[in-house]
Amino acid sequence: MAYLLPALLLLLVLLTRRYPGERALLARADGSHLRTRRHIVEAGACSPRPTTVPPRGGLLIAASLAVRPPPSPSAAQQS
Amino acid sequence: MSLEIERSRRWAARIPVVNRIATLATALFGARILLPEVAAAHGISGRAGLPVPAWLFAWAAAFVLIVSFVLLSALWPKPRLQNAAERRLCAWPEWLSVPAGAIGLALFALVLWAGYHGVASSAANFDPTFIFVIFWVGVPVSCLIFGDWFRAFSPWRALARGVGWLGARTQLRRRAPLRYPAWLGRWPVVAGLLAFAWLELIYHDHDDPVLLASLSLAYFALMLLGMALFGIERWSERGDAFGGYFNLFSRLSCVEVHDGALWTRRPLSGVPALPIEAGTVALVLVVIGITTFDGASNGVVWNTLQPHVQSLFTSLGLGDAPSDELADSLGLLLAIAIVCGFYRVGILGMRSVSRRYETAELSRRFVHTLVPIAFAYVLAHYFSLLMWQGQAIGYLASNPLGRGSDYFGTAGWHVDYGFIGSNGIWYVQVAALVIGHVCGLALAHDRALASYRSAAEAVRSQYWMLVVMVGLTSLGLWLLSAVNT
Repeated sequence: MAYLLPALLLLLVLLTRRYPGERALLARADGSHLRTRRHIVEAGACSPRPTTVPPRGGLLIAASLAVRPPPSPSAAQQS
Repeated sequence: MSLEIERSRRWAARIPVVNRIATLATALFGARILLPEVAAAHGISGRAGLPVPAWLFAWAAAFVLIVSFVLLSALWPKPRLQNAAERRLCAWPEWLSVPAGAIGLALFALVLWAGYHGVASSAANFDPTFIFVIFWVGVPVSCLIFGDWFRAFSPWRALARGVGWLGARTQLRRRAPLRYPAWLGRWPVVAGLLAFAWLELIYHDHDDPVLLASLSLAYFALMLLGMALFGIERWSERGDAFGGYFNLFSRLSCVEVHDGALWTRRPLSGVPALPIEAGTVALVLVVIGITTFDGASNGVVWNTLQPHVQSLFTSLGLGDAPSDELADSLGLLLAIAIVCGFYRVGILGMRSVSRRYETAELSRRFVHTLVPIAFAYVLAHYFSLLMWQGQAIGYLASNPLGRGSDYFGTAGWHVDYGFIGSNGIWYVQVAALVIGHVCGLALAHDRALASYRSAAEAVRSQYWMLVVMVGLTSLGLWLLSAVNT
């Protein structure tokens, strides 16, 4: 019985209609996992996106109350 | 007690040198009785040097198969074996089949000569070793490397082709009078293999040289009749039990001869091209079942059960020998049924995943995946026999009749049992089983990719084939390790 136990365990799992690891295998088979990861890595290495700092605190209140929004921090620094 | 020692015990009655091993085996068996704790601790005896219990090998094999399944699913996204191209290596002159056929005919004549004129002792006669070891085990194993070389050496096909050539020269050539019926398919091969297995494994006087020569002659005549009725090539492929058996394993080879050339192909790519006809599923399952029974008949389970079955037949008024043979015949059928059961579970599981194919269609579509497993079973179970008893052909070739001749100066050779140790044989057996089942998984995965539209169905279906592969691996290892424990 010790010999056949791995097969019996596997059979028992499948009889309950469970396919352990199926989603991961399908994701791997589609290659989507690899493609997504490669895309992120390549995008990060080649062209860093400009970061925008969201307004906080007093600037947030001022921005919400202002008729015209204040200039962005980068534009303010240039001037 | 290990399979190889048991094999040697079976042959001890035939070859005097083997008697020494039989004595050793008896001594080991006696020691087992005296020291039951030691024997029980190892699970198998005769391989006392194994670093772990034998059942752990089954778990390790299951782990390897599961990892293989994951890797196949992740890294093998498209079918690669279904229509793989062959590469022409070199020309293969047609005339080479003439000397090959002549060699085949000469060997067949030697079998008849040794059988009818040699000593009645199966130990000293050429026939039992040549037929049961070299022909039955050595040829299929060699087909893995050299392809279907037996086709060229087949004595009955060579004679029929010779007669056909003569007929063409004398304007007497004619077409085969009968069309080979489609429903017959490979069933003659199945019947022939079952008959041979029954002779080798069950019939009491199976090693009588006169009987072997007579049966060989009868088989030769039957093959000639079949080829005369249905055509040489058609009958060779479908009606010749041994030709069909060797051709099955030759599909695992990377080389093949056809159309006047030697071709190479991708490993395993010859197996999916196996034509699925009537009886093909039965053929593959019967090959595995025969080997399963051979292993089980030396194991504790069948040796405990068999006397009860035999006594049932004895109580019906049959003699000891017929009762024994009938009981073993039932055992052979039971072993085949168990193998069929394993495959049936896998097929029904695949059917539960998708209703795209009927059960019978699935059986036919995936049966080729069992071919490497059948080969692995044969190699694993008969490896020790081939390595040890196969050496005997060296001295038997010089002295085929057993009357003291020495044609090639090798009559003084003997079997070297130190050639490979019992642990070495065990590792070869485990490796053969695991590799064979991994190849089976790869073939099944490739066929699933080609058969199912959705990747989810393909992957799910292969979970069920994984169960089949793990089950058959475990069964094979259990049979090998349980011999006489």
